[in-house]
Amino acid sequence: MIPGLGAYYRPDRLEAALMLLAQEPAARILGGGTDLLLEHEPLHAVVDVTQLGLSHIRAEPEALVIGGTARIEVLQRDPIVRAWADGVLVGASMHFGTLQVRNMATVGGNIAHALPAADLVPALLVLDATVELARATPSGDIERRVLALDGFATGPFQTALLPGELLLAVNVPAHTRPWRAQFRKIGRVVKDLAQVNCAVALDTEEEVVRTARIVAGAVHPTVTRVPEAEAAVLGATIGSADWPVRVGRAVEAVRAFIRPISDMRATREWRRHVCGILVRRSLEWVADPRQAGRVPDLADGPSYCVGVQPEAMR
Amino acid sequence: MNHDRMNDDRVPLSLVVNGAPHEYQVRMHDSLLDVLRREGWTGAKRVCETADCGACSVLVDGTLVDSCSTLAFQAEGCRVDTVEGLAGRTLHPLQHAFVQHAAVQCGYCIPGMLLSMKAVLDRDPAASDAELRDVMTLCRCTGYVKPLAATREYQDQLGPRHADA
Amino acid sequence: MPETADATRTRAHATVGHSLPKVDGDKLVRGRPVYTDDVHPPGMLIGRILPSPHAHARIRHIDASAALALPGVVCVLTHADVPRVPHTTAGQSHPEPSPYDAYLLDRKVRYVGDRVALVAAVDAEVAALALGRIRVDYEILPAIFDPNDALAFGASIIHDEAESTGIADAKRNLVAVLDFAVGDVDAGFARADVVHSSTYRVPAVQHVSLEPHVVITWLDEDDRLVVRTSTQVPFHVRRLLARTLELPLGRIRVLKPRIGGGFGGKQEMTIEDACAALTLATRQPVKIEYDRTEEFAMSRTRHAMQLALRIGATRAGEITSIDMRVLSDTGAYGTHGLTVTGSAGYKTLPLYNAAARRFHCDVVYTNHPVAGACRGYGAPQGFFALESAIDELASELGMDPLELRRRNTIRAGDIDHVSAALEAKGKGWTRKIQSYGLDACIEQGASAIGWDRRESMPRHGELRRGIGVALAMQSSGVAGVDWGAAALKLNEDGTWILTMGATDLGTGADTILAQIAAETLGIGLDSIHVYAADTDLVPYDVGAYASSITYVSGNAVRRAAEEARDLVLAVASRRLDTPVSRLHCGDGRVRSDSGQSLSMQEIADLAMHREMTQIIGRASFCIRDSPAPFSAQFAEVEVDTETGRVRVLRFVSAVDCGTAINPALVEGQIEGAVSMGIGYALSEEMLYDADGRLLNPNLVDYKLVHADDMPAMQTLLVASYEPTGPFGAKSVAEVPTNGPAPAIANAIRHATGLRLTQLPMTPDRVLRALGKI
Repeated sequence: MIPGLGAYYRPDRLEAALMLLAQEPAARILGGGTDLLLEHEPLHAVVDVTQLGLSHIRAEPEALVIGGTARIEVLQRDPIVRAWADGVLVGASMHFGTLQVRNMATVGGNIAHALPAADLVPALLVLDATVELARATPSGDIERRVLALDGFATGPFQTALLPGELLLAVNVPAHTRPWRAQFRKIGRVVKDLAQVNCAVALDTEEEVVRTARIVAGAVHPTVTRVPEAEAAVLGATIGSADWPVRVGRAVEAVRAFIRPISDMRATREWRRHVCGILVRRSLEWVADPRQAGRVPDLADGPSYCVGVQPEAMR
Repeated sequence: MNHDRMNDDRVPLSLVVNGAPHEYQVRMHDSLLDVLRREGWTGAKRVCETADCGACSVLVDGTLVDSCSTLAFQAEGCRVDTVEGLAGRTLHPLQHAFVQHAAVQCGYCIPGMLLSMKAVLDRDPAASDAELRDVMTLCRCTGYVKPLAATREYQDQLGPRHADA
Repeated sequence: MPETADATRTRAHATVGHSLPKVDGDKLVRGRPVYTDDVHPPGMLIGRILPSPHAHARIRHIDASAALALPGVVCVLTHADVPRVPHTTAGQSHPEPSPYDAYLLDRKVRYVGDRVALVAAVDAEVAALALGRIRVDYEILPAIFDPNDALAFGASIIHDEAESTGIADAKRNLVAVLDFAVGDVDAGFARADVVHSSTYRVPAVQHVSLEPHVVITWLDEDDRLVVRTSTQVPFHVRRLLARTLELPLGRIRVLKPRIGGGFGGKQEMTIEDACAALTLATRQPVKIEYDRTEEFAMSRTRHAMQLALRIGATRAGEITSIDMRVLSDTGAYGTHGLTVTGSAGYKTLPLYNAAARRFHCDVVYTNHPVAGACRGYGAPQGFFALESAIDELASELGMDPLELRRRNTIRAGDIDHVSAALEAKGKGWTRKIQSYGLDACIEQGASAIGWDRRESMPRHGELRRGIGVALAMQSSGVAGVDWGAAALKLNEDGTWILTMGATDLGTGADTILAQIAAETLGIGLDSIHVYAADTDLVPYDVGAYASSITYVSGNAVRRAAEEARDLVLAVASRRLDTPVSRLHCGDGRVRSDSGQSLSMQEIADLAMHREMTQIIGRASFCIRDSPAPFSAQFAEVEVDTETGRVRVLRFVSAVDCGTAINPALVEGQIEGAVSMGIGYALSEEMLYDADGRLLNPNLVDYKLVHADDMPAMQTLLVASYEPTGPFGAKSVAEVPTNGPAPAIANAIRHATGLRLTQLPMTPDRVLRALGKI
C-alpha cells in the first residue's frame, strides 16, 4: 500500500506525459517503482512513464542509445550492450538486485533517483554518457536538452532535472577503438546496495593510455569521476615498469578525493580503503590483455574479487 | 488518457488472473499484492515489502515481479499468474520435485521460489547453478540446498544444463 | 507386549528412516490458504499497537480523542482500560522460570517499540492514521543500552514497579544470576601449562521467520475467545492469555494453522494478548499482523552477550579447567533471560571433560528490544566463545585443533558432570551419554572437508584460504519438564487420525510424528491424517522448542500408537481366535503366525460395527532424560585481506542425531541451520542509534544470506542409536546452529592468523584487525 496515493496516470504519448508533469507539480515520475514505491512515503500522484515507447536499446552510428524506461534485466541481456566496452553495463546490471527488481527497475530511474550508491551510473559515467531530457513549457511546447551525465546528479537524491522534466534516453558515444572497461561492487552480501562500487575505462593505443575514466560510487555525495586519478594513468604504458606506480598513484588520488560517510552499511575508513582496492583491481583487470572483451558472468563470483586469484589456487 | 485513475474510492481494475478475467474493485494506493490477497489469491506472501525477499512474486504478462512493490494499476489489463495457477489437478513437475526432495519446510517462501525458478527455466531450460542461485528467493529454513536440488531434478527432465564455469 | 528398543533396532523399518515427502507438502506448493492470515472471519477489524518512540519513559497522559474521532476507528485501549496482571510472555511450562515483569499495557515504556496503546479500525489505512493521532505525554527517563552500565550504582531502574515478581534484584536491573561448578577451577588452572583467556561479544540478531507474528481473534457463538495464531506454543499461549486477560482458561481456544517459520521467536505470547483485548473490547474479530519493521522492533531477538572465557590445558593437551562468565542483555523484559543465558553454559560446557568447569552469568535489563528464545537457545553464543577459545588454546599448545578436541570431548557412557552439578542444585537430573557419534562426526567431517589439506594451504597474498572446525552438542527437550500427549483414533475405513499438541512450524514435525505412528502400527503414511493443533481437540503438548518434537512428542506418539496397536491386536485376536502374542502388524494388516490376516479396514469394521467400540490409543510422555545430539562442522573460507570480506566456500556438517526418522527432513534442518549460522557469523546484527532506535529494521539493511552467498554444502548424518528415543532418535533442529560462527572464525584464524572475538565478522572488523584501517 502506498499511503495517500490519490492519482495514477499512465499516459501513452510523450506529449501527454510531459503536459501532465507540467500541470501536476506534485506528481512523481514512476518507472519501475523499485525506488519510488519502496520509500513507504506518502505519494499524492504518480505518472507511469513506461508506456511512452522509451524502452528501446539500439546502436546508432554515433552512439548506443538506451531509452529511459529500458529495464535493467533487458539491458544486461541485450547483445549490443554485452558487446560494448567489455560489457561493463552488464557487470553493473548483473548485481543490481533480485531478478524481480531487475525486471522492473529502469535505466532512467536509476539515474534520476541519484542514489549515491547507484550501480548503473559508474558504468555509464566511464563511458561518457549523456542524458536526453524533455519538458513541456507553460506555452505547451516541448523543450528538449542534452546534458552530460557527469554533473547531472548534484547531490544525494538531487539532480539537474527541472520541475516536470523527464529523462528520455541515455546516449553512450561510440569510439573508434573499443574501450576496455570494468565495474566492481562490494556489498555485505551478494545482493545488496553497494557499500562501495566503481568503474574504470581505458582507451589505449599501443598500450599507451590515451583516455582514462575512473569513477567511484557510494563514497561521495554523488557517484563521481576522479579526475586526478584519471590523470595519474593518462599517458602511462600498460605493462611497463611505470604502470604499477601509476596505478598506485591513481588509487591514492581516489582515496584523497572521495568523501565517504559512515553509516550502518560501512564506516568511512573502510569505504576509503576499499574504494582504492576496487579501483586498483579494476585497473589491473582492464590492463590485462587476456581479459579483453570478456563479458562479466555470474559464475565469476562477486564482482569485487573477480580476477583476484587466491594464493591457494595459484 | 483512458488509463488515468483518480480519487480514493474503489474503482474497477481488470486483471486476467491465472487465465480467468476478473474485475476487482480496488483503491489507487493498493499494491498488486494487496489486491491479490484480498481477492483470495493467498499464494503470494507479504514478507519484507522492500523488494528483497521475493515471497510476493507473481508473473505479470510473463515477467517476474514483486507484487508488494507493484501498484495494482501498473498491472491493469495484464495477465497475472500466481502459484495457484501452476498446478492443475496434479502438481506441476517443478512443484512435484519440490515435494519429493524435501525442498519445502515452512513453505512461506515456496510460492515465490517456484515462480522464480519457473521464470528462469522458461527463459533458459539449461540455466547454470549460478543463474539458479541468482534467482532463488529468500528462504530462512532450507539453506537453499534442497530447493536447488529439486529444481535441478526438474531441469533434468527438460534436457542438459549449462555447466558452471 | 511393547517391543524393546533393541528389537526395533535390528529390524529394517518400512517408514522410519525413509525420506518420505512431507504430509503437508502438496498444499504448501500449491499456495493453498493454510496460514493464519490466509482466511479472515467476516467483519474483521485491523488491530495495531502504538509503539513507544522512547527507550525509557513514564506515560503521563494519553489523549486518544482525535484517533477515536476518525471515521472507521472502533476502539483505542490504553493501560487504563485493561487488567494490569504481571506475567511473563515466555512460552515455558508453568511455573515459568522467567520473571513476571510484563503487562498487557503499562504506565511505563521500556524500549523503543514497547506498547503504548492498542487500536482497532475497519482497515489498515485507518488504523495507521489512528496511531498517528494518539497524543501521548511522556516523562522521559534515562535509558540504559550498555549492559555493563545496568548493574552500576545510580543507574536508572527499568522495572521499578512493585507488582513484578521473580526478578533477582530489580534495583540493580539484575534479572537473574546462575552459577554452577564442576571440580575446582583454580586448582585446574594451577595445573595447566597454558592458559588462554579472552572476551567474546555477540550481538542481538533476529529470527526473521518469513511469516511475521500474526494473530486473529474472535468470539465464537458461545462467547468463547478463539485465537488463531502463528505460534510454537498453543497450550502455553492459552494459559498465558487466561492469566493476562483474567479469563477462565476453558473459555479460550487456540488454533495453530500452518506456520511460516518460528525459530524460537514464536515460543512466546507476543501479540495474542493485545489482539484478544481488542476483540474482548469490541466483540468483533480482530487481526494483528506485524509488518517487517514491527517484527524487528517489537518481537524478540537472540540475546546479545559478552562471554569472558578462561581455559587451561597441560602440555600434553589435557584441558584442565574452563571458566565462563557471561553478561547477558535480555532487553526490557526478562522473558527467557535466565534459561537462555544459563544454556550458554550448561549446554556447552558438558562437551569437554575438563576436571574443573565453572560458569557464572548475570542477566540484566537494558532498554533494548526484548530478547527471547532463538534457535540454539544460548548455545550458539556459548559455543562461539568456547570453540574459538579451544582453537586459541590449540595454537598456544602447538597442537592440531582437531586433535586437542579429540583428546578432551565427552564420550559414550560418560556422565555429564555439568548436569550432575545442576542436579545438586535441584535443577534437573544427571545425564549419561547413552548414544554417541561425535567421534565419527569428527572423522567423517574432517575427511569430507579435507582437513589434511590444511597444512599445505599457502596463507599469504590478497585472498587467503583457511579451514576451521567447531564441535557442538545440544539436548533433546528439558528433562522432567517437557512433555506431550497424543491420540490415535481408528476410522471405519481403516485410516487413522493422529491428534496431538505438537506444533509443526515448518520443520516437518507432523510428517516425522506420523512416520513414527505409521511404523508402530505397521501402516502406510497415507493412512494417517494429522491434526494439530487446536487446544479444544488435541491432547496437551508443551509445544515446539528446545529441540523437543522428535524426542518428546515422538515418544508420546510412539506410546499412543503402541496402545492403539494393542487394541487392534485384541480385536484381531478375538476374531482369529489367536493369542495376541502370535499376531503382528505390518503392511496395513494384522497377520497371524499361521498365515491368517485382517486388513485395518476389517479391524475397524469389527470394532465399530460388531464390538461397538472406538479404538483409540492415547499416551502422555514426560522425558526423564535429554539425550544430546552432536555435531562437527567445518568451514573453508576465503578472506579478502584488502576488503575484509569473508566468503564461505565450503561447509561440511556431520551430525549425530540418533536415528534420522526422515533423513531428507533432517538434512533440511541442518542445512537451514547452517545458513542461519553463516548470517550470524558474517552479516546479521541489530544496530541501534544513541537513543535506542533500531537503524536496520528491514531486510534492506539487516542482511540474511541468499542462495548466492551460500557455500558448497555437504551434510553427513552419522548414525547412533538412542535407547530412550523413538526408534533410536534424538533431536536435530538446534545443534547445527551452534557450529557455523566458531567454525568460520576458526577458519579466518587459520587463513590470516586473526582471532576475531566479535560477531558478526564484518569486512570492517576484519580490516581493523588486519591493521589496514
